[in-house]
Amino acid sequence: MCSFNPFFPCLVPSNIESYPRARARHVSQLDSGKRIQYNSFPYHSVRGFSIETAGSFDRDTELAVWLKCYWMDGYPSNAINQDLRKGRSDVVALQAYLCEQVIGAQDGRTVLEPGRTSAEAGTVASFLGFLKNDGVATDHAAVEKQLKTAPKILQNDEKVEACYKVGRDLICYTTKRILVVNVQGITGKKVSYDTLPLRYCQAFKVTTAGNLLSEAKAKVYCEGCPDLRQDLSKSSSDIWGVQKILAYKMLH
Amino acid sequence: MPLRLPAPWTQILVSWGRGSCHVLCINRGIILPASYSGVSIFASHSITELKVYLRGVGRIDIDFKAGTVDIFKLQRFLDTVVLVGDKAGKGVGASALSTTSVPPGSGKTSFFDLIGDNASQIDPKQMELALKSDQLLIPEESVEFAFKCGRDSFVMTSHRILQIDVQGISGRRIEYFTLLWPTVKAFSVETAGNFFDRDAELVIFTNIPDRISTSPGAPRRSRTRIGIDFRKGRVDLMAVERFFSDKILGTDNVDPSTNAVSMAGQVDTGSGNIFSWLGNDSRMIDAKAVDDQYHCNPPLLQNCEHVEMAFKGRRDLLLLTSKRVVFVDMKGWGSLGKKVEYVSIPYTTVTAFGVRSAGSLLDKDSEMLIWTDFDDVYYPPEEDDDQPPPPPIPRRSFLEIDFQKDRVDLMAVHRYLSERCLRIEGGHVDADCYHIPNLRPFDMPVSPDVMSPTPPGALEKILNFIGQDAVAIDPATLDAQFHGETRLFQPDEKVIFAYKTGRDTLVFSNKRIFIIDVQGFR
Repeated sequence: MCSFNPFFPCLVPSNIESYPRARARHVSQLDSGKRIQYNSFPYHSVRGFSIETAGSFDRDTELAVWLKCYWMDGYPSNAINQDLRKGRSDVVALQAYLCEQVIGAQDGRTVLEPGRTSAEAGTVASFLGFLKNDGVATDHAAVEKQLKTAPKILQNDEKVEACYKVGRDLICYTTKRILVVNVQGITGKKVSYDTLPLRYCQAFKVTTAGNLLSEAKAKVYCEGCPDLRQDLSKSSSDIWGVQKILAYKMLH
Repeated sequence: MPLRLPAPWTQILVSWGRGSCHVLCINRGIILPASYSGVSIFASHSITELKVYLRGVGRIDIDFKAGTVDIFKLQRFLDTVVLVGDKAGKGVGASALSTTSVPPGSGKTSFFDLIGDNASQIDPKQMELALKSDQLLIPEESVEFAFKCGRDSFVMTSHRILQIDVQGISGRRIEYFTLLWPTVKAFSVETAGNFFDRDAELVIFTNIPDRISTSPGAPRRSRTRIGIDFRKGRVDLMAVERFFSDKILGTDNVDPSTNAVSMAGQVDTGSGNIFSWLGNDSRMIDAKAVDDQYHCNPPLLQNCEHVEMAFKGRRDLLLLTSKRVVFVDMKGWGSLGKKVEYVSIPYTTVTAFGVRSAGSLLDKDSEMLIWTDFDDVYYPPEEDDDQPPPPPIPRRSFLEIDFQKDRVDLMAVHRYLSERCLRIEGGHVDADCYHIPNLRPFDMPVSPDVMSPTPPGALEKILNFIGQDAVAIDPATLDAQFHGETRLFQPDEKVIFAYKTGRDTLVFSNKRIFIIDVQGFR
């Protein structure tokens, strides 16, 4: 499974203020003496972002923006989390706009050597690995086509260069970013799309499989973003394929 | 399993754990120099230790078996891959170096100074010769400032800050800590106080990614603050301050002798009418007077720099200059209060900003908020075992500056910060082939229109407008509102997306993410 580990733990429970805030919404109209905070976050401070589409039961789509800050709302944190109302806001358009602002200045050239594709990274679709939902290289062309049409997450000049399916989730290494598609919920309607721009990815680590309990792992360190962790099926050839792709992406 | 990587790529094998091999690839400086934030090396007789600080990763310690590795060879190798291109630091102007009026110290320190760790200035040339003979510097590197206290030295070179820390009783364990200039994000100098306090102090704020610590009584990252205590009178503190200004804010290109006349004229026309709106309360001060004062007594500011806005608290000052935010913090008691701290935060270090209006009638303060680029979060010590640990404080990671609400036009402060902290059109491509947008150049003055008064009641109108429509906001209409009376947005800025969620409003413009957060229960 791929998972996000918050690099800066946000200590405040998210629902602690929900009741007084809901109540205050009505009261605030009566009194003009409000404290109003106007915050500006320039795009050059943004280190990564994530959108999450609405699921079956909750009505909100969610936006998270990771910033180069160390303090947010009274706690050591670097994320802005905002709920957006389902149906009223076009998150896909918003995602495209954020892409343009945060990573758009880069050209979409490939950093893989010609002829080197994810196919080399191991077609290890072993049955055990499949059962355990560990990383399996998938067809990146099909994924690219899908992510350029419905939903349109990728930019026009962006190319998917490697793609791993981890259970229901998907990790795509594109020419401009690492995109993590995280499927949540029972029905799988709630999907989050996390973008880690390659320009802010600083280092990576691969760990080979050890004994029975430890699997091969890859980890990407991003400045300010939650670190990306990818578990792979227990095959040494696979992890070296991932290593190669990460090396070509980041050491260029 | 062999690693197949092209030859010029550098790898350091970090450790072999049980059953698995952890390999961390460190990029060659030329390819991704941003990865090296600071490199420090421990070298000693019995233990040899290397510490590498990597951006986004943290600290990596590598222990070597004594006698197996030539640590200085490794240091020289790291020098050649790290201290290249943008990472090598900018030069300083001749004026910053020539103003050193203090004669080189004899190197003889008194017992008190050894105990108290107070540094005195020494001859850079002497230091350079000593370090180069040991091959601790690269050939093209030159020493620009050097301090020595007892066994320890602090050397500012053209390429780095080198801290040589002699440890242990026999002094055989020596740490050579190399700090790259781009990791220095802000700095502060503090003058010496009265007779009992002999120290002048320099604090450098860095974004070195040390390990995160959450233990009470400790900063979150220990290397964020690096302080040097100077011996009173043995160092020209303002020369040190201007040296750091040159290194971090860019070279001072105005000649000090001619500037005194020409600049006074500029300030007159530039800010004379700008500050009329502040009224003549003691809470504000004339930017021209402040500008004049801090160019000569003390000579804090660069000659090419201007004070554009100035605010006065009870004793403290806040200056918004064309290059940085300066806090002047008067310390000490009464007439003995000679101790003054000057904190400089360049606009390049400001990652986000905001203003907060005053609340109900009881609330007299409005605030300016600044987020900075370094992790200065501090966990206060526990006072009592029974109590829960006190919450962390942000210190200089997040600054709140209180204003008297009826003495300061908060929206003018907002507009000014927008001009200085948002990027403008154009830019350059850095060594990593990444497009870097331009900050507004310091010599491009902010238009007086930005600081002209906001009509009273304009903000309430905006809020009422936003409040009318519960969920969806038409960007075009909001755009018109933001460019209307309040002038919340810059002239060339436009609203792309706008959402209202609860009481908050989230706006995406072509330059920033803008959040209007309504607080309080009334």
